[in-house]
Amino acid sequence: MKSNTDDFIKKALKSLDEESKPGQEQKQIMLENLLIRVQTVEDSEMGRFKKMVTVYPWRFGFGVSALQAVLFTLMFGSNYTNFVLQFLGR
Amino acid sequence: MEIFLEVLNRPAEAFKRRNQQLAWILVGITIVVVTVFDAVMNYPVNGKDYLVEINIINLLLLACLGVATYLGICGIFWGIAKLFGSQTKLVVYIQTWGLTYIPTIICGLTVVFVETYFTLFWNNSIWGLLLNIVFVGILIWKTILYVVFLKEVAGLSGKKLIGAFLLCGIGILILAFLNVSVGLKTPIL
Repeated sequence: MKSNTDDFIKKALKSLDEESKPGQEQKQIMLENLLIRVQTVEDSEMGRFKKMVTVYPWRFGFGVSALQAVLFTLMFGSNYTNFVLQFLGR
Repeated sequence: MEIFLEVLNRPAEAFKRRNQQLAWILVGITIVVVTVFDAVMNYPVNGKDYLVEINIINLLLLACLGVATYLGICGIFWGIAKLFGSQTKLVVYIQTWGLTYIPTIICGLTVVFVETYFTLFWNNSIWGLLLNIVFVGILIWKTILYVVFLKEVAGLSGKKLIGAFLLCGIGILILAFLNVSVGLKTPIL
């Protein structure tokens, strides 16, 4: 009778132990959570800026260029545009 | 078309794919724009006022110099990157650097137009502003491509990347000066 009770308790403990281990599905979820976290680290401020510059580089180039052109032309007028033109022309 | 868009929008991936055919086509178009297109545009516009001769031998010589410049800049990249510990072979530079020539082509076209219609643009703020946006934008664009190229193709990063960037920059300036002095108004770089 005593050993029966012991067996029962052992079984119960074993099943509890097994229950507390993550199953295959849970492992998958944990892995996905980790991967998502790694992704967000890569998507930090600096990473996002680098991506913005290197993907569609012409967009960044012409954007910055438009800003400086408008700003300096407002400040110096055609003196500035002629200054840049002389590099292009004769 | 898809490959072209990738070169335009995602240069890092395009460098990895290494489409040598497209690279050389882009270099070829640049050379044609700087030599033939320049002469053809110059002829009808300025030919009315003074004699403009199209010298085919001279154009061929300039085209050869353009090819030599391309091989030269690839050699400079290879040598300097090797100094900084890059393992990339010279052939790989020759196969990929041409993929950065889209802004060079636009620059070549812009230079031809500005040269031809210079009087129209000089002292004109609106035209000046537009050409300014195009020219400075191209410079920034090409510089980004240059950095991505050193990073992806030469495989450099950190201080090595900065060192190679500066040393290759000197090489680019020297070649650009030589190009302009022999008559390639837009350097084939």
